[in-house]
Amino acid sequence: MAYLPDDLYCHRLDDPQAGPHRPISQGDVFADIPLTGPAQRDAKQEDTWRAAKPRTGPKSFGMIVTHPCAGRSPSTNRLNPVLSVAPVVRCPSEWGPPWDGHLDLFPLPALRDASDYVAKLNEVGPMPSEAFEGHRIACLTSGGLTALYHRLARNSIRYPEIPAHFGTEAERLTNETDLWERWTEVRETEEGFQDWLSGDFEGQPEEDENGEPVAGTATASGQPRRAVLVWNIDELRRELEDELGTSRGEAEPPASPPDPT
Amino acid sequence: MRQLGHTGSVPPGHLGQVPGIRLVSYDLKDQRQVVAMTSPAATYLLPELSELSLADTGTRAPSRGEINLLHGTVVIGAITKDEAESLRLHHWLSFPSSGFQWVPRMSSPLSSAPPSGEAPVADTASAPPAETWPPLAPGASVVAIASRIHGLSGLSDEELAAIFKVTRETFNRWRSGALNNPTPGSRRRLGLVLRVLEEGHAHGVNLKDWLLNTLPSPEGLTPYELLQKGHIEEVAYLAAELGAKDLQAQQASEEPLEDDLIFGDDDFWTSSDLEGVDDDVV
Repeated sequence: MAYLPDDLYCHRLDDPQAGPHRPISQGDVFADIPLTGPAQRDAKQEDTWRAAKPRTGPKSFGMIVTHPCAGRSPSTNRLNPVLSVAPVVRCPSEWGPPWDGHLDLFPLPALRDASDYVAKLNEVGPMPSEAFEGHRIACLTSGGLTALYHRLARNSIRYPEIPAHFGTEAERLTNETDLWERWTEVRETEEGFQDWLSGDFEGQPEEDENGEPVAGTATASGQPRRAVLVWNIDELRRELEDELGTSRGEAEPPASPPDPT
Repeated sequence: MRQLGHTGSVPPGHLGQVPGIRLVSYDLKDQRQVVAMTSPAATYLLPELSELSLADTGTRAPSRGEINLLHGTVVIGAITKDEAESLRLHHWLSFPSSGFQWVPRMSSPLSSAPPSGEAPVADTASAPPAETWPPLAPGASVVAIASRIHGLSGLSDEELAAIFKVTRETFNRWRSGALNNPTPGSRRRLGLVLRVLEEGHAHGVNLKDWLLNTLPSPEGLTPYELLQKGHIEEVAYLAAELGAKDLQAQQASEEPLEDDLIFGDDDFWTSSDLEGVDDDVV
C-alpha cells in the first residue's frame, strides 16, 4: 500500500530557491543540477564503456536521498562534497494516485508547473554538493520524509510497514531543520547552530492538576537539546527564540581601557 | 447515578477504588469491545442499572444491590440501553481489590447467559487477554487518546503521569474528560506515545511487560525509563523491532506483475567521449 500525505512539501516554488534560509537536507529537490547517469556502451566498440554525459539544464531535476548524518561533516557540519541524488523526471502518464506499485519511484505530485514528477530511486548517483546552492525548488514536510523513508525501505528490502520509527525519525530531522532554518534566518549564517543544539536542554516544566505549566519547575537533566528534538520541540523553540533574542542586535560592549599600571 | 449494594463505601456515582477492572461491552451481535482498561487506585463511574431490561435478549439484568465483583470473577451488568435494538452489556473482570467486595450475578456473555446465581467464570488476572484495539482516527479526543494509552500500556495513571511530567490527577482527568485542553506539547506527546503503543499492540506484545521489564537499549534503560527521559525516538526504534517476525511473513507474499512505464523525453542518458578505467580513480 502506498503512503503519501496530502501536505508533502513545506516549501515549493516554481522558481528557485525554495526556503532560502533552510539548510540543505534529505528530501530536497533541485533544478538545473548536473546529474550523473549509467555508463553507456560504445556504439562501435562493443567491449568499451563510456561515461554518460551529465544531464544538465533547467529541466535537470534531482532529489537528495542521503541522510543528513551521512551528508554532513561531523566536525564542521558542512555538506559533504558528494551526496547521493535520485534523478527526478516527469511522471509517466499511466501512473498516478494512489501511487500503488512501482516501488522504485517516489511520487512528487504537482512539483513544478502543476505537473507530477517522480524520483527514480533505482538510479541514485553521486552529485557535487556545490551545485545545490540556489537551485532548490522543494523541501519535504515531516510526513513527506516519512513517505520517502517508506518508499526507500520498500524499494530496497520490501519492508511492508510504516513503523512509528519512520515518523519519529522524520519528525526529528524536520524539527532540527526547522530550528536551523530559524537560526539562519536571524543570524544569517548556519554556523553555531549545531553547537547550540549540543548544549544542555533547560528542561520541561511540570504541569499542575489543571494541566497548566508551573513556573520554575523546569530542571536541566544533563541531556543535550538534540536528544529531545521530538519530545520537547515546543520548549526548544522557546529556548531558541531566547537565544536569538538575547544575542541579536546587541552592540558589543566597549573595550575596557588599558590598565594604566 | 445509582449506588449499588457493596461492602465498602462508594462515593455516589463512582465505582470506587477497584483496581484492574476491564469494562467490556457487548452489543446484540455479541460484538465484544473493550470500553476502557482500568488500573489500580483508579476511580470509575458506575453505570445506571435499574431501568434496563434484558428480556429482549433472554438474559436477566442484575437488580440494584446485587452487583458485586470479586477477585478473578466475572460480572455482567447492563449499563446503558439506547434503544431496544441496541442494549449494551458491560462485563467486568475483577482483580485483587481492597475495601470492596463485588460478587457476580451473571457469568457469561450476552449470547450464552447462564441462569442467575450460577458461579461466575474466573478470568486469568495474570495477563490481559488479547483485545483488538483498532488505531484511533486522526483528531481523536484527549479522552480517547489518554484512555487508549492507559489501556494499551497497562500502566497506572501515576506511572503515565511521570512520562508526561504532569500530576496523576491531570492524567486521570485527561482520561475522564474533566480536563480536555492539555498544552500543545502535552497533546503532541500523547500522540507520540499512542503511535508507538499502537504499533507494539498490533504485534501482540504485552506492552506493560515490555515497557517495564525489558532492557533493550544500550544504556540499560527500559522503554519506560526512556520515555521518562523523553527519548521517544529510541522507543519507537525499539518498537519497530517487535514486529520483525510478522514482517517476514508479509514480505513472503507475491507482488503483482506491473506494466513497464513509459517515461518522457527528459529521462535519457547519452554517451560521452570518456572511456571507463579499470582502477578506482575519480
